[in-house]
Amino acid sequence: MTSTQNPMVLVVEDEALIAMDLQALLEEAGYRVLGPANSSAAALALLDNDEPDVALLDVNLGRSDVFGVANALAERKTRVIFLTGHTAQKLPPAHRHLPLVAKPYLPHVLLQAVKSALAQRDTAA
Amino acid sequence: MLIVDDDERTAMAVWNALEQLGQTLVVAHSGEEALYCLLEGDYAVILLDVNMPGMDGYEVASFIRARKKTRHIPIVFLTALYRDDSNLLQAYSAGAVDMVFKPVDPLILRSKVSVFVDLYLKQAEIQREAELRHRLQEENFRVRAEKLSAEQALRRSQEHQEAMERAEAQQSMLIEELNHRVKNMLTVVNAMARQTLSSTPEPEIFAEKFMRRIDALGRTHALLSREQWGNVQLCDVARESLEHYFVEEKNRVFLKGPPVALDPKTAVALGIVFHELATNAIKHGALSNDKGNVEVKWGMNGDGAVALQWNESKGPAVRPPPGAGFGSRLIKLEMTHELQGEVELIYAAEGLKVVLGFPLMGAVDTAQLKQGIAQ
Repeated sequence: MTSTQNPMVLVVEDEALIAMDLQALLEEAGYRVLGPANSSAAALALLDNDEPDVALLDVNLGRSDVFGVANALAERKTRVIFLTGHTAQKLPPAHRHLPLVAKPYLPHVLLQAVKSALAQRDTAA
Repeated sequence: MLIVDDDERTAMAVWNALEQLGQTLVVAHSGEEALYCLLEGDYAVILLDVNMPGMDGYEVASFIRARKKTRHIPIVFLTALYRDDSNLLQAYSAGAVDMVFKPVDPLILRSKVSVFVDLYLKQAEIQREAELRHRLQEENFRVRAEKLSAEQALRRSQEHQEAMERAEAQQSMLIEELNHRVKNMLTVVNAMARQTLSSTPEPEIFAEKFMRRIDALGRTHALLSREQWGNVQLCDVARESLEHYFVEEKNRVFLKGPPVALDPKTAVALGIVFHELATNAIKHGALSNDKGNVEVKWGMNGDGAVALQWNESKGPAVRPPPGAGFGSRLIKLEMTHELQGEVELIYAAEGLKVVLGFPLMGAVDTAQLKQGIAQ
C-alpha cells in the first residue's frame, strides 16, 4: 500500500443487506473496501492479491465460521475486528483479545473501531 | 450327660465319678424317665444301666436309636453282668459304643466318658463354626447385594444428572442461537433503514418503502415459522412476497413452475428479490398501468440449479434507470452474495425481463447448525 491510497478494509459478511450497509458506511468514510466476501474461501482468495489494513469479520458465515480467515490474518499486519451478535466468550481463546463490535452496530461505533485498529497498526509499524 | 440307673447307689457313684468333668449331669431312675429326659434336652453321652425293672437298657437303647433326634448320642452301657460274648454282642447291636462294668471304677468311667464329652464339645464347636460361616456368608451376600443396588442407584442418578446437563446445554445453545438470530435480524433492519434512507431521503417515501420492505421480510419469516424453519415451497415464497400486489392487482401476476423446496436462507433472499421486483413493477413497470401483467416461471436445470424468469408485458415504455438504484443493487447482491447465483436485468422493449439462476442449498441440517453454534 502506498501512502497516497486510502486504507483498505476487508469485509467478510454473508448477509447481503449487512454486507451492502458495511460497504456503504466504509466507503462514505473514505476507506477502500476489499470484498465483501460471503465465505472464508472467498475471503482467503481475496487475500492472495491484496493486503488489507483492517479486516471486519462476521463470526458466523452460514454453516461455517470465520476463524480460518482470522488465523490467516494473525500472521499478517492486518488488524482484525470481529462483528458478531455473540458475546466475546463465544470466541475461541486465541481470538478473545481482539476487538469486537456487537451486532446490531451503530455506524459511529463501527467506524471508531476501524480507526482505532488503524492507529494500532501504525503504532506497531 | 444322662445317667440312667434304677439303683440310687450306682447313680450316685457315677455322678461322683463324672462330676469333675464340669458338665451338666442329669439322673433318671428308669428307662421311661430317661426317654422323657431325652425329649427335652440334648446330651453328649448316655450312661445306661442294662438291668432295670420295666424297660431294660436294651429296650431304651432301641428307642433312642429309633428317634432321629437322639440317634447320634453315644450310649455307654453300665452292667454288672460278666463280660461274656453274647452279652457284649447284644449290647453293641442295641447301639452301645462302650461298656462299663459295675462296680464302677471312677477313673475308667471318667476317662471313657471324657472322650465322648470332648467329641460332643468339638462337634458343637464345629457346628457353631459352620453356623458362623453360614451367617458370615449370608452377611457377605447381603452386603454385596446392597453394594450392587447402591451402584445401580448411583448409575441411574448419574445418568439422570447427565441427561439434565445435556438438556440444559441444549437449552442454552438454543437460547444463544435465538439471541444471535435476533441480533442479526436487528442488524438487517438497521441496514435496511440506512440503505433505504440513502436512496429516498424524503421522510414519507422513506417510511412507506422501509415499512413495506420490513413487512415483506416479516411475511417470509411467518411462512418459515409455520414450517418451523424447515424447507418451504418457492411458489409460497413468491405468493407471500407478492400478496399485496395479488390482492390489489388480481389476475395480473402468474406463477408457473414445478414444486421446488427452498431452505430458509434461500427463501428469505428470494423473498427480498420478489418484493423489490414487485415494488419496481408497481412504480415503473407492468403493474403501474391497468393492463400490464407479470409472468413468473421457473424450472430446474440439469445441474440441480433453479432457473427463474420474471417477465413483464403490456406495461409502459421501458426505460433503463439512470443509475443502479438501491432495489437493483439489493437484488444483485442477494442473488450473488447470498445465493451464489446470478441475475440479469434485461430492459426489453415489451417489458422488463429478469433472469435468475441459483443453486439449491439443500435441506436445513439443524444438527450442523447447532454444532456451528457450539463451536
